[in-house]
Amino acid sequence: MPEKIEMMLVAIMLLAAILTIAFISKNSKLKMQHFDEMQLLIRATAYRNAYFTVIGVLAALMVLSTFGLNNIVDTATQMCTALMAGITVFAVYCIKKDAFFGIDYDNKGYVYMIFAIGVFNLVMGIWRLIDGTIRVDGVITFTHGASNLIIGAGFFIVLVALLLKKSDDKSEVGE
Amino acid sequence: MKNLKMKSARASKDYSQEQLAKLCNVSRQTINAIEKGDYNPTINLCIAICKALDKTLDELFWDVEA
Repeated sequence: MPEKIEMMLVAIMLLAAILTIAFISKNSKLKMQHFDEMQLLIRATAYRNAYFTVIGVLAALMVLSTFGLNNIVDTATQMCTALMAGITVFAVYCIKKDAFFGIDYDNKGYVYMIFAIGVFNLVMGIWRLIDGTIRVDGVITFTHGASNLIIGAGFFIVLVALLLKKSDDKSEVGE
Repeated sequence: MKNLKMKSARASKDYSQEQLAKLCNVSRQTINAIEKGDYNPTINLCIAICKALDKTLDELFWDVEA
């Protein structure tokens, strides 16, 4: 029971964070990113790809759960995996097609933030994996490091995509 | 199909892709994609490009051979 209450609290905090960010971004006087028409089309395709990725991963998880996946990984971790897969697909596609950042958007701070979140979560997740505390009664548990691992992996992939894109842009032949 | 007319109009004005993109309020990659023929711009963007390059729509975007 305490674990369920803990999960509920995590969910409520997450929801509160999302609502706060949405409220702040709507009322913020900070410069919002501006995307041109081609970028908007690319982002629309990226959202579509992300949507189908989430659907596909959920379907795969459903099939695997009939073979006892729930005895290895808890449900919350599975859901988080599906969500993170969708977010990563969206981000990597947009980065590859130059539609992740808006026009004239100073992205240095954003990249540092992704680096910090990715590395922090990945280190926490790997640490928990190595010392075994990620498992509770033999099941990889969301609140015991699995979330850190998944989020860290996702952000790390996005960071790698950003760095590769940056190096590609530098070596691009001028017009 | 590549838009060589646009590319040469841009070159005659001595604009880089970046400069033209700024004038049209789009990204450099969009201008690059239009010139390479990888993207068909909307009429509004076509008009913005024509204004920036002092050309007409026909001169830049009409395919005479078609």
